[in-house]
Amino acid sequence: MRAVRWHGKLDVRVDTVPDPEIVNPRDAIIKVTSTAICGSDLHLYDAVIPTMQKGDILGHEFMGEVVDVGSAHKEKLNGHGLKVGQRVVIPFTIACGSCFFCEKQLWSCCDNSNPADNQDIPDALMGHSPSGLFGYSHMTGGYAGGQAEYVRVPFADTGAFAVPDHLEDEQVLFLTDIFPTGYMAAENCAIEKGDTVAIWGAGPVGQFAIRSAFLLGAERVIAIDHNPARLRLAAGAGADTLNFEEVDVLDALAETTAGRGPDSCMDAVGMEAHGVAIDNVADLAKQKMGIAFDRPHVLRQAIIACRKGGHVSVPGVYGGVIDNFPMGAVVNKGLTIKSGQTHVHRYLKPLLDHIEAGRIDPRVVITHRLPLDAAPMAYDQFKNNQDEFRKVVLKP
Amino acid sequence: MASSSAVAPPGTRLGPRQNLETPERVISALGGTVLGLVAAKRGGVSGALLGALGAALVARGATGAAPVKRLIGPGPDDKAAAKRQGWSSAAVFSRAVAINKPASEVYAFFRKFSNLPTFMENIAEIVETGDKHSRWTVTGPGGVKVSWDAVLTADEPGRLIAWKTLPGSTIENTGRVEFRDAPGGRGSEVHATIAYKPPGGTAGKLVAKLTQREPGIQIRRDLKRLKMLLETGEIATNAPQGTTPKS
Repeated sequence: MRAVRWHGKLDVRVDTVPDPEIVNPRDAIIKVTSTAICGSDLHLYDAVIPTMQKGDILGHEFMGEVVDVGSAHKEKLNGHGLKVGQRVVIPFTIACGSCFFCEKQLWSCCDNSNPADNQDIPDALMGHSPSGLFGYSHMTGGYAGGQAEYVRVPFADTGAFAVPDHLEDEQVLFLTDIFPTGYMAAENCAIEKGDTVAIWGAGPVGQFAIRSAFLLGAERVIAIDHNPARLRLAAGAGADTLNFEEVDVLDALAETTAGRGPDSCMDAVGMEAHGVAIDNVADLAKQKMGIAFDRPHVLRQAIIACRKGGHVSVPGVYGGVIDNFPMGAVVNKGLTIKSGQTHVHRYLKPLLDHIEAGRIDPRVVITHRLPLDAAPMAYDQFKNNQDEFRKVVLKP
Repeated sequence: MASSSAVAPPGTRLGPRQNLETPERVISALGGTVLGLVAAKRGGVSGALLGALGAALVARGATGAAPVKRLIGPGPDDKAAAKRQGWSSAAVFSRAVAINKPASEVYAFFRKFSNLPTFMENIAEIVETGDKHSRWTVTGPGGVKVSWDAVLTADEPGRLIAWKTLPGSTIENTGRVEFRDAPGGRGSEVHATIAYKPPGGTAGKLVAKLTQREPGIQIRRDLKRLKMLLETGEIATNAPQGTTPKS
């Protein structure tokens, strides 16, 4: 089959590789009909996430048709097992469904989906291992990803979610990651009636977060980015916008909230913040020298901007440790910080309902539909021409 | 001290910071002084380096504390196990895992020794040769197969399994696995402790560690695989397309 593989920094190629096979009883093989490039894939493209290996198949936003299932599905064909021919979306977080964490609905914290050997590094780096992820480095499993013609899906009886035929791929594809990610980030803002939510990053996750914040009752959403097209799309959803190239974000947020600050602040940017603030330039230098993983400029700014007693929600990806973290502001303003890889499984049904009811149209973020072979160009454009390439869907 | 000893599992305790006996302190201090004199005579960069080494040795002798030795040398549990077993040296490891199943179920699975190779990577085969006896075949560093006979020393259904190798085994070892109900009705806990006589002493232990065949690394991964198998019915793997870190 054809698959998008990581060969090193800024080097992805479409290669011919062996087709996947059923390995474990709960596996399924999916023939991919649509797969997207995620903003977090750019962290891999830029080689700032450790433990990638040459030849890894990328991609964690994908859907398709079940073409083969393991023995566990066959045994319970009349129960919950998957059937060949079913059309499904696949959560990017792999979860077993039966451990302590899955039972608490903390699916991305699943104990059992990251293979035991792959847990060594996260155990050492973070104290514990998160769940396995598709196509996202070896410390989260080293699983082959979904930017391919076929994918092996472990624990498919728990993860794969059947979608109705009257919805087209592009309406449901983003249930795999960015819609639930934006929604959970908005939930983590603990929005109350009358609240103002400031969201750094108006990329695809930010766009879903803006819309989710309104769905969850926000009075006002302020989107912060430097990309005019993204800001226009945010404005179209009803958000006020700030271009950080044109204004001092902290001043503007303070003034527009009459000095109080936004009730909650969201970092939908993560470890590769843009901008020429002093702290970010220093972080960039450290990252280039290999002595820092992350550039947390946005996170620092969100903490400083947030009102006293407010919530800081972090859907943006961070991989390691960060310097100059304003803990004094967190303590003295009584902030709550919430984060996490998305517990996708718990949002599938409720968010599908929002899509079916027409309360949100996920297609608004898509700018390009391309064949799989265009992936190298798409990665390059997504990185260097974000104004035009907001969201790319690949059709294997 | 007392509280930490009660909680810390075997193999995790460190010896006292001041871990050198008088003869070793004297040798360290004298050696350091000699090095210092040589360094002063030599001068230059190499002299400065030698001088620093000499000063460190003098400090080691003066304080009686050797932090590196404390971390990589035999700890108090290793020494106690060696003494108890009558071995020249011992390495002790322990590891625990929480499993979302009742202790009785975990015990029953573990007690059937032919199940162990399904989740213990190093173990090629275990054959139960009698009521209390079993023959273990293990893959060691470099893929070399090693066998030994073990005898059960304790077997309390739902609670405890312990074994030790028969005298004259290639790799002498003892194991103790406790099964406990977890607090608050949250499944169970498995606490495993392995002690073995490292072939080649401390150097052999380091080789095993570098080739990732060391029991401390294996026990951690094996318990995770046991948990996966019992909680999900399978062991997570990224094979065949993913590449597992070489072991």
